[in-house]
Amino acid sequence: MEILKVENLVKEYGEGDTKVKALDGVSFSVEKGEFVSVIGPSGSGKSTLLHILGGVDKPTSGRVMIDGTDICALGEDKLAVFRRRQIGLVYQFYNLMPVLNVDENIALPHLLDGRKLDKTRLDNIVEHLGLTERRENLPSQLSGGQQQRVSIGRALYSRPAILLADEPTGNLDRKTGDEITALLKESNRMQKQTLILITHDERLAMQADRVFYLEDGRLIKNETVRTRV
Amino acid sequence: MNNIVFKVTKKYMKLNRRRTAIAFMGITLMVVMMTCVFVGRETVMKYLDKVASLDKGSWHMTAYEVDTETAKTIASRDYVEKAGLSEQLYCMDFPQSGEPELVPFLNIKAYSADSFGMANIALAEGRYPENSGEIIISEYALEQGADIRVGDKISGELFKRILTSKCDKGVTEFPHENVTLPAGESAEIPVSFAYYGETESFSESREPTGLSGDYTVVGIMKSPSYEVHGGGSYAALTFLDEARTDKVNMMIRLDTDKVSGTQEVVNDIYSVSGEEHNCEYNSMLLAFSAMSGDSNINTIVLFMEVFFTLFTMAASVILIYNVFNMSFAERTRYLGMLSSVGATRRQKRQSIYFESFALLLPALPAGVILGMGTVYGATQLLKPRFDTMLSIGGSMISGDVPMTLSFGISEIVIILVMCTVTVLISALIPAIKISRIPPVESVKGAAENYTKKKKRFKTRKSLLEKGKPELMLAVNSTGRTRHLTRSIIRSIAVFATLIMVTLYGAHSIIKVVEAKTEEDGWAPVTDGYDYAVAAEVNDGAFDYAKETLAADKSVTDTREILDTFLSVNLSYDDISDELMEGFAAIWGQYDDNDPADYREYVKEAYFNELNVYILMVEDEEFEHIAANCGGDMSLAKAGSEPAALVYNEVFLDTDRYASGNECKGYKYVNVRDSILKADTGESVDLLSFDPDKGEDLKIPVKIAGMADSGDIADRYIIKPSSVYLFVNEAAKEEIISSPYAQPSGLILFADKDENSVKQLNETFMAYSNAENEIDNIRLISKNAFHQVASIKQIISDIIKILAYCFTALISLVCLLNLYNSIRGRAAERSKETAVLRSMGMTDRQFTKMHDLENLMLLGRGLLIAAVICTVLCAGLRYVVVGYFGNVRTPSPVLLAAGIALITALISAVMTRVCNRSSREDIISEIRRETV
Repeated sequence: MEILKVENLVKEYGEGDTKVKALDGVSFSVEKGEFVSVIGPSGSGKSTLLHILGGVDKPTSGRVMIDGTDICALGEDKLAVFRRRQIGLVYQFYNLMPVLNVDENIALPHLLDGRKLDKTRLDNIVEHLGLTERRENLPSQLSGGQQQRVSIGRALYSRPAILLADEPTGNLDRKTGDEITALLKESNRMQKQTLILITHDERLAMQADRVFYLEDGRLIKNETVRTRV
Repeated sequence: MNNIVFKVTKKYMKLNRRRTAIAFMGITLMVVMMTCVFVGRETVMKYLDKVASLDKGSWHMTAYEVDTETAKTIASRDYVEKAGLSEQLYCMDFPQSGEPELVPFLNIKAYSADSFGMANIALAEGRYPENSGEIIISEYALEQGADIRVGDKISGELFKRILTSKCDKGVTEFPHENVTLPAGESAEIPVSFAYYGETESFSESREPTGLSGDYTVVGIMKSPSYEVHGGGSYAALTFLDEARTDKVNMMIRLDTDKVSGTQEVVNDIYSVSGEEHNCEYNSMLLAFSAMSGDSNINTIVLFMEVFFTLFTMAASVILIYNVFNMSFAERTRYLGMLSSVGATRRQKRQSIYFESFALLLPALPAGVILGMGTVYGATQLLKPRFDTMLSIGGSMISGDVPMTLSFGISEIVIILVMCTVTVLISALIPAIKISRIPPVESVKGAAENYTKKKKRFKTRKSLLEKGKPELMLAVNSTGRTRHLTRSIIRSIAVFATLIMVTLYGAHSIIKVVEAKTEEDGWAPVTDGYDYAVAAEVNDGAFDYAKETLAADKSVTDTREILDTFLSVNLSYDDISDELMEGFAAIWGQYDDNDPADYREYVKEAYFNELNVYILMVEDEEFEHIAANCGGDMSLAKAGSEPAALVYNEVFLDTDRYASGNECKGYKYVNVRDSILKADTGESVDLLSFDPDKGEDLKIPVKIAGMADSGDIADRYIIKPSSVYLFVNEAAKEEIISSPYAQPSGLILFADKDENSVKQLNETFMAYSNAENEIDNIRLISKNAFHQVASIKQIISDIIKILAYCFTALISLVCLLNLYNSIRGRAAERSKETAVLRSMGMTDRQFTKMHDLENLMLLGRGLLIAAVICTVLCAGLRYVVVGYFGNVRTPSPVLLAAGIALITALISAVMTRVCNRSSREDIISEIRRETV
């Protein structure tokens, strides 16, 4: 089942001589439960693609269909609601709310949607992420790896249609990075969570079902790494 | 610049242009404020000094008949800025006079060069005299037809004027000239005394001084302020080479920084010469130098200056402190990096100081120039108001006095020092705090939430489980971000506190000044009327005026009021204990009087009777006031029974009730709501006296109610320095019929026909002339009731204007402070905002979160403000009451409620405005990781 469909996506910055094409006619689709990694050199348009997929940026032209909804056609408020229900975002620098503790950070998007807290799910996620002892700590009291776990927990708590991860291990040491990768993969496999991962790390990218190669804003390769079991 | 910390700080300042610009604005505004305070004060005072100098001259005091040696000694004192000598040479015949029968003399004075300048002698033609053989004559003489011009010569003997009584008995008095002439005796009269020549009662003669004058007229001067128009002489001035007599008059301009008051100079002259001298004071000029004879006015001027300087400093310190504090998190990161490569605490502190002073250096000239521009703009706006006030003062000020910026080196030095000190104090605490943050916390960006304890932050389960994310975010963001939150709470508290205390202080000062300067008495509200006729009641003049007005068809809407004072009394036994205590307290300020003895004192000195003001009004008006104050309408309407309404306020002070020689200090007592012991419906006796029978008269009146200023606002304005009673017509009849009562009457009337008014005026003047009485019946324009303005009142008005200007300035700083805190918080949280947006938080949810945050911050800020305001206002009230007396200050509760509401509104609007700009670029905010 197709969960994401990108059609001829173009994103331009600037005007006239300074115009830069960050994305130049990118098209692809992703099946539900698939793990896709996007790889490419710096400035190739990876992050731009992720931001457009996450609904925090708008393309110059083209369409992004998520679970049958064209997110580019949504108004600001509807897009905000769509984001909190359908998209989970994991950033390189975690971007947690510094004033909320672990529990509050994880539950925040769910609460923003006006839904009541699912205490059991929260407990499960916190336990699964190995943060039980840290539930009442602020992000500033956590290590980088712990903060990224919270970030993943926050992204997963609402059971989004797509989990978008932007260099989730880029700011972490290798061991911690591996732990985070394992968590993401686990959520993909166990909960059939669609995962789109942006990374520089080819070793990490190769763990995906498919790898998209971006260069100068173009999707130059769409390669299947392995067949899912 | 070799210091690496300074280099990095400089780069950081360049990198964070917006924050640096705000810090620069804050410091510049502080310099502007300081400039406004010091240059503004100097500019206004210099302008007032110039205005006052135009009236009488630029001298502060003149000591008369000082011996020449004493004059030399005093002139050399360091408190004397300038001293000029003058000599009264008395009169000389002036045959060229245009009115020889009325003004036959010249009043000749000799002035030294400095005296011409200080006495404001202006030439209409020619030049000033340069030796004792030259003279200038008043232009007034020429206007009255004198046949004299520049180049003419005049000469004659100099003499004093003597008046001799021709009467066999009695005393001839000229109270305005202070001349008393017992029967058959002679007395010297002033040179300006009107010339009557030979009359049936007295004759004028001359007493030669032994001197003569031989002068060439070298100029015509504008009529000097001392010239009395209508007197027997025209003013003329010659040059004082050397005193021709052994006594001179000494005109002194004081160095106001070196002397506290004129009494000090008087004492000094006495100590040198060993005798007392008559002195004249240029009261307006002294008042504007805060050296008026009234020490309280001086204290108020000084108090106001200190009060507003301190508050300006406080507001500035908090503003700049907040500017530094707002960037705490950003700053700690780069300082943490410096620290991690070996920067010491001292170097971290230096970084803050470097930034402060790097901003202060350009801010100083910019702020001073801007401040001067502000002062100039404000003075140009206020000048018409000042001009109007000063002309109302009745001074003979003519021509325009330009209001130019005035400041000296001392003002600039004070501004520089105050600004430097303010910046130093402002930067001190942030510098210390930042230097204490461990480098690791700084680099991690955890400084904002840094705490030494491994603190846990409990999950707010109720909010989490009930699904209230906006409230959860609001509670946590206000509770867990110390610097940002505290900055806003501090700003709100400071905003509310400074405005509240400044307004309360300004109001208190104004009330004190009003209490000190207001003339006591009563005046009718004249709306709907054009003129009034004032006449004595007992001699028939009032009835004549009444009949005349009734006969004039142009006269409509008459209103009749009779008043009496000193002839109808109340027993001290009938006045309330509060009022009695007030009187006793005032009396106790004098000599060694013990307030406890006051009751005995009034029994002996005043036969236990208090003079009261009685306003006898028409029954319709009596009913109207009774209805307004909720009085006993059965009494008010009955009409046949004598009834009174008590005005429910009396103010007493040592200025109006001098009860001895030595006053311990000014005291003001305001008694409200309880004036008499008798309540509504009860009776009191008005006391008068029957001189024929030699016995007391009692006029019992029933109290129909107690009225306050609001109840009579549409009819009367009363400034009550004693008990005021309104009585009805039944009581009026009894009072008028008592032989000792001497009521005056006033009839207000409307008359739009100018010819009719002229005719009425002539009729009343003819009546007065026929009765050989001056102003037996007077026709008064309604404006005349409200035109009295003394120097004190002018000062009062100026103080009010300055107080409001300073309040506005301080409010501006507080407003900027609040805006800066809110904007700073929004800017610091822009990344959080972007993250929340990326998670799907809608505008509505943001607005709700901001409103909730505002509510919490406001609550905490206003709570702190309430505590501080209570303490400060109570302290201020304590000082005011202790020093001046229980002046009626506005209720701080209403003021506080108003300020809280304004603070809430401003805070809400600012929050929305500041957070609107943070919407724009989610991606760049999310990716922002730089210092």
